[in-house]
Amino acid sequence: MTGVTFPTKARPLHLRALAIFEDLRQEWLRTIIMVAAVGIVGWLVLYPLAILFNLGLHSRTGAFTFDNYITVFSEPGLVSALVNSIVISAGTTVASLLIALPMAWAVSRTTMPGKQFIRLAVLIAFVMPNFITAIAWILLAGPNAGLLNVFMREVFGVAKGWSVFSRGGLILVLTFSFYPLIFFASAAALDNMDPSYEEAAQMAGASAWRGSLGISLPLVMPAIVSSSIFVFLEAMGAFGAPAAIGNAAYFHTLTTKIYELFSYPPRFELAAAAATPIIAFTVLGLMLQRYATGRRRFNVISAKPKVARAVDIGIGRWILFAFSMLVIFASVALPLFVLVRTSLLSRWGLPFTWQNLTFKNYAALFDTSTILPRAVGNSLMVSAGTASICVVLALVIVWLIERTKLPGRALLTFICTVTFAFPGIALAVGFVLGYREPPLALYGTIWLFFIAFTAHRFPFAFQFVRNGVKQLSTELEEAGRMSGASWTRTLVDISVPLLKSGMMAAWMMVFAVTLRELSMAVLLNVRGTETMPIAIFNFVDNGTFESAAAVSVVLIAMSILSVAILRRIAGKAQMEV
Amino acid sequence: MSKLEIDNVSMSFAGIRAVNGVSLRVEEGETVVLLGSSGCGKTTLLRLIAGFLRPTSGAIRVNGKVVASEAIMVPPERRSLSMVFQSYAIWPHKTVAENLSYGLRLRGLDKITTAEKVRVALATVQMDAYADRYSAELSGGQQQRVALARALVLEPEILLFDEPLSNLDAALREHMRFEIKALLTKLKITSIYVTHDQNEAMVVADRIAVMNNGRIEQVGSAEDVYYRSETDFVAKFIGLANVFDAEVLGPADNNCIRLRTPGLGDVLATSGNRHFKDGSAVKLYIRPENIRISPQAGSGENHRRGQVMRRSFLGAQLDLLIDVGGTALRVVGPSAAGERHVDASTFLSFDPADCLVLTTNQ
Repeated sequence: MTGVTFPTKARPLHLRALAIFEDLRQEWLRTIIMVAAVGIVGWLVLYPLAILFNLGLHSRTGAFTFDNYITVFSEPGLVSALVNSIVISAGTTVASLLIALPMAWAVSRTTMPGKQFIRLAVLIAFVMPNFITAIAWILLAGPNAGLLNVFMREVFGVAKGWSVFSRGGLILVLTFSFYPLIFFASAAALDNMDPSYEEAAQMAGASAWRGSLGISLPLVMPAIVSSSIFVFLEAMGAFGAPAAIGNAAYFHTLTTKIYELFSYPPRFELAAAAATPIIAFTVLGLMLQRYATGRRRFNVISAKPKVARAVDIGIGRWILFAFSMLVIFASVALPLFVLVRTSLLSRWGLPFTWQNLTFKNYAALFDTSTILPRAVGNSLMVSAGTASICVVLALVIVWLIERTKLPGRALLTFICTVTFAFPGIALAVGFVLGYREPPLALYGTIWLFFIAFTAHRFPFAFQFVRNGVKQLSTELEEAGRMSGASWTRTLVDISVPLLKSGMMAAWMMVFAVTLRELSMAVLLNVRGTETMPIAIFNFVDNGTFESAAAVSVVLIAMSILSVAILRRIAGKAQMEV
Repeated sequence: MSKLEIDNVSMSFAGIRAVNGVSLRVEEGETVVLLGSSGCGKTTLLRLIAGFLRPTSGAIRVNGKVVASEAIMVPPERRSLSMVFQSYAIWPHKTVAENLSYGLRLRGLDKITTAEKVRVALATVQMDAYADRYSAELSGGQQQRVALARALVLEPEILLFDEPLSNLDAALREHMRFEIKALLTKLKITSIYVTHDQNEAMVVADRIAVMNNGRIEQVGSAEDVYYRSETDFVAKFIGLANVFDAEVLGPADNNCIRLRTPGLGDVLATSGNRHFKDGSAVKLYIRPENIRISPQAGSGENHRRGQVMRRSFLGAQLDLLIDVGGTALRVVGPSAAGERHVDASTFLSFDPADCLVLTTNQ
């Protein structure tokens, strides 16, 4: 055997092709499942996008044209809507950074009191959808009847208060909705950071303050940049708050403009063309984000977390504490208070006295003469269904990406994550237009909600399940094969039980975000397919804020409940692994 | 017919040949250890046998039946093999007993037979008291035993081990290798055992296949690969060796040849019944423990005088570095052989029979 060199020739191409085919045939069930899953996800994501761009580039007669883009930008108000969107998104991003960064640093790195409470309170702000925050602030700072303005008028005699119906008001509402994104991303990065960097800075002679601020903040810069871009994109794609505030303040953003182009008389080509700037911003933002985070995108699973010594900042901790409490008061406590208060009044704007108190707004949820029982049912059904479809699809696709060497996995990963930051309303344009005519005439049915929501929210399930699979040793599955189980059998008997908590967390996450979905639903909605957010939106449109407040309170309660369950599962999952 | 036949198997990953034209036969009841450093292709070869990878070329036969070739690929679950994994891979959602019974139930065995087989297998590894535990409640050594029992209970044609002891602490690893050897000898089960630890290999193996760069360099007993290394890599990888470039001067008595080395002068070495051309370049290998030290000068072939450069006391042994006319020689001997100080003058000698010679073109 010594030194014997065997001639090794490359296998002829047809034999290699034969071998691949043989593999596929032998694992035929696996092959079918994989092909089906890839086909479904590819179709869900790519078809509406194709429709969107295709329609934007064609005239009503079907000829190829750039006219729609020219028309849409000469359409009155569109350029100003675009400018509004950019200015408001930028303002929201800056304001969110100013609020979130000091808070994140304080809860992660300092001796500030009440850190756990602040994290929980910000989580509630995170759970509140922007259109509900908008309603709360309309009730608080509406020009005449707003509680705060009434208060200022009656107590301090300020004749003309501050009105939320302005671009500044919209920035305030969006900031209170989106600053948690920066807060959690930065706090998590600071939590996971190796404290020895800071300690090294102190050994080098920097004060505790300077060591922490000068070393930690730059190190978590990727997390800050990436979450800031995310906030910008979320603000750009937000629909509920701009609709509620812009409508009364007589200004448009891109999303409300798309909605208007969709309303009677609908101009679909223009809507498709108007959606493209948002998509362009999203793609640009995602590319920037990729660039900013570089190769460190997946360093979430860090080594054993070392507990960093909290920096003692003396009197500063009380200043930061006061600041954090003020933010939480304005972004969580006040809105929740005003929503609950309003939901108990027989007519919003009435004084809060015994004879005006009622439960009728909540009772309406069970009153079948209103749309509410159906809306609650639809919401639960669509959210649960979407979550289930997403998780099952994610399991198969993630297995394919993490456990096989199939070519094209990078492209598949891209398709699976691309809709993550996509504004719902732009995607919805593609879905409505793509599913109007037979054989895909699903527009106007609840089924299109499942399809569109799955396409939009699949990335959440994908990331959760993927994290689970990444932490699952391949050998556990291989041990199944060695024990005599086929691929499918191993998936059912070994992988699924072991991924249970990851899959449940993915399910809860998709359920929670689908429950509050408004921007897609407004376009997909017809009579009979109302969901809870749609019901709230309609109440605001009619000016019946007391009903909107009641449904909002229920929606927030359901969201908080699902996030609480999610935290329990996710916490357990971490312990199991 | 051999139990396992690996016939000219190659496997490439992205253009790199992880396994390069390997052939190997394993007989019934035999334990063959694949030994090599990381990246040598030993784990790839094991995974090819298991069926997790498909060979780029060549064939693998179990009991004469082809399980992998250019035309055939039998999936792992239908190869009648079982495997002990590096991470043990005890399914955390099943109890110890459920881990063992899973494969048996898949084979359609009834509950009573299954329970009995599980009980016997657990008793074999002294884990019968832990049948209802979960893996999280077991120590590393216990998980290792369960992994072994789970592989044994299926009564496989061939048992595969993928670095099974590398996650244990040193003392337990030392203990377990003897236990595994005893078990394999008792059960007469055919096994392929992958490790990078040569001591482990020497304890467990009937035969060791030393791998390097995707090839098997030598297959043989522990004594074969140690005393009769066939390649430069094997001689250096197994144990320690003082290596010298040398030139063949010509044959001598008693199956010996005379060599000339730049550092050590003329040396008499055994030719091991092989023919070396006069004047050809060779390499000379002398193991540190084969060099004897004495305070008095001796006479005859292969005697040298040197000076102690470095001295390390290792308990049972003394590890010395000795300067012989400008050439450093590593010498390991029993500590009792005498106290030697740095800079002390000493005499050393080595038997021609302990001098291994290999031609350099290998």
